[in-house]
Amino acid sequence: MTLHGHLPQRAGVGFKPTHFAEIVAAVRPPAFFEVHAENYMGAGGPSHRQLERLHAIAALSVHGVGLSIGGDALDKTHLAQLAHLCERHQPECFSEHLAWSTHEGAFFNDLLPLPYTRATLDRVCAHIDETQSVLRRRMLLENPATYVLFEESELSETDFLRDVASRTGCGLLLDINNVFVCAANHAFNARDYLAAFPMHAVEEVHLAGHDEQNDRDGAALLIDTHNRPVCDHVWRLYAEVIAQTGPLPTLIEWDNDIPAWPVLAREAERAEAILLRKTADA
Amino acid sequence: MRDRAAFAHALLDAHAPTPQGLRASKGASIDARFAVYRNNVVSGLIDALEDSFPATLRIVGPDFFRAMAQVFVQNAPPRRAVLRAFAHGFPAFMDSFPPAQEIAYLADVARIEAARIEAFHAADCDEDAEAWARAMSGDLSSARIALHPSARLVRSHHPIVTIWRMNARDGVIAPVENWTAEHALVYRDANDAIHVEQAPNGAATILSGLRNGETLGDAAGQAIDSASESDLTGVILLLMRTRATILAETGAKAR
Repeated sequence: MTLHGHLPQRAGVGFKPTHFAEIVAAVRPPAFFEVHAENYMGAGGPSHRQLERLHAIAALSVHGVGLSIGGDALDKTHLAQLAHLCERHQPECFSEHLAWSTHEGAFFNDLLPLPYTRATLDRVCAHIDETQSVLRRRMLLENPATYVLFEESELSETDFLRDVASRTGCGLLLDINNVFVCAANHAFNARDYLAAFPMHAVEEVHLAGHDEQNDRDGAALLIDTHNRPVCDHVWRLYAEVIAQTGPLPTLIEWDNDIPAWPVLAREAERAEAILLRKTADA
Repeated sequence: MRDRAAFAHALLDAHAPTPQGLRASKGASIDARFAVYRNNVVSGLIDALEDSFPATLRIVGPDFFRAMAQVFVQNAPPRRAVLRAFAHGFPAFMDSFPPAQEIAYLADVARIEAARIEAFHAADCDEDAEAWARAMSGDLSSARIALHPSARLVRSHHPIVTIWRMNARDGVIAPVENWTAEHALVYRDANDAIHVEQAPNGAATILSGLRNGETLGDAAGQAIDSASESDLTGVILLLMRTRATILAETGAKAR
């Protein structure tokens, strides 16, 4: 498997074309940018040129949202397009989700949950093996935000991810907002989850904002909306994780109700400050 | 998963029961939790169509648009994770959607919007000014010419370019003074701007002919045969402006 370098152990942001001019004019742009793979699967045009400009000033992470790793069979065309994209832009990192999004040819454009059983573990591992082999690189797998659980689940999510990482050699992408959202939705303690998480395999962290609602029976319901700043609880959990693991590449995701560039840049600086504090300690 | 099919089906059908085998924490409603996925999927895809078809949205209004998009999402969900192909199918759906048929030009205006998205992501192509210069000094009528990969032609019986422009961002809506058929030529320029131009009738015929592999001369002949006036110099300038490429110069030698 080819070596592709690493994301820096600093803060990055999800790239939005609306911020492009301010990013290239910035004195200190973020250390890396992450883009959704599916937005860059056209043959040409300005979006690829923007990506080349960004990659000239910062590291690049390609984040897939449509491979359906937990689905029935991987879409070979989609996988080939991912391989082409990675070949073309040589990102430092490729990541996807522990989720499914396709069934019998329909694509649902959402990260859907899967039960954690021996059978789904085998399938996810087979799909990651296939992906890493076609892309000729390691990938990272991200823990999902979920709203339902499955009666048939026989493994915890953290054990499931630990087994996937050890069997396939993939790294993990720890989304701390997803942990917080799941903890509220499924009434568990986020710190217990993080204590059980296979931190040795974590190579990137995601931070994002979520929406807080009550469902119709009055139970708290958090939705992973990526449409606002990271909440204080998640910042606290993040600082605790970094204190334990040391600095990790950390991405601010903000995909909806996209803010002005300085707002997003400030979120990244806040993560960077936590990372630097830990770097100084070391 | 024991029943992924039921889960998948219930995502798109609001009347389908919540799938079996799901669990929610104490005090939470499984139906309400499953509804989050249903809403993410259906609303998310409708939002994506709204973003792709702003002029169509403005013509019919948000209530009509979202109702129409919802039927499309439920009847013909995306087949691929790249949503451009899904958006590409929306105008054809409008042709077959009875409430939209009352607005005869709607689907063709939507075709302009779909073409703009495709033009944005289309392949790049190096310009070859020298080939043009050589062809101009030879016999251009025997040249085969490839349109730029971004170029799209939308033919219509309605004044779709005028209507699209009025309903595009910052467009001012006014009565259409001259209700005649308009064909739209959509392309990306060297600065990556996407243009929508009205292609004169003869030009549209010539562009279609070139796309089918005809020489410029044969394509222009078709335009004359189709009994519409065509301004060949105007078409050549249009081809150069839209960054068409000379494929084969049989030139003077071929004659």
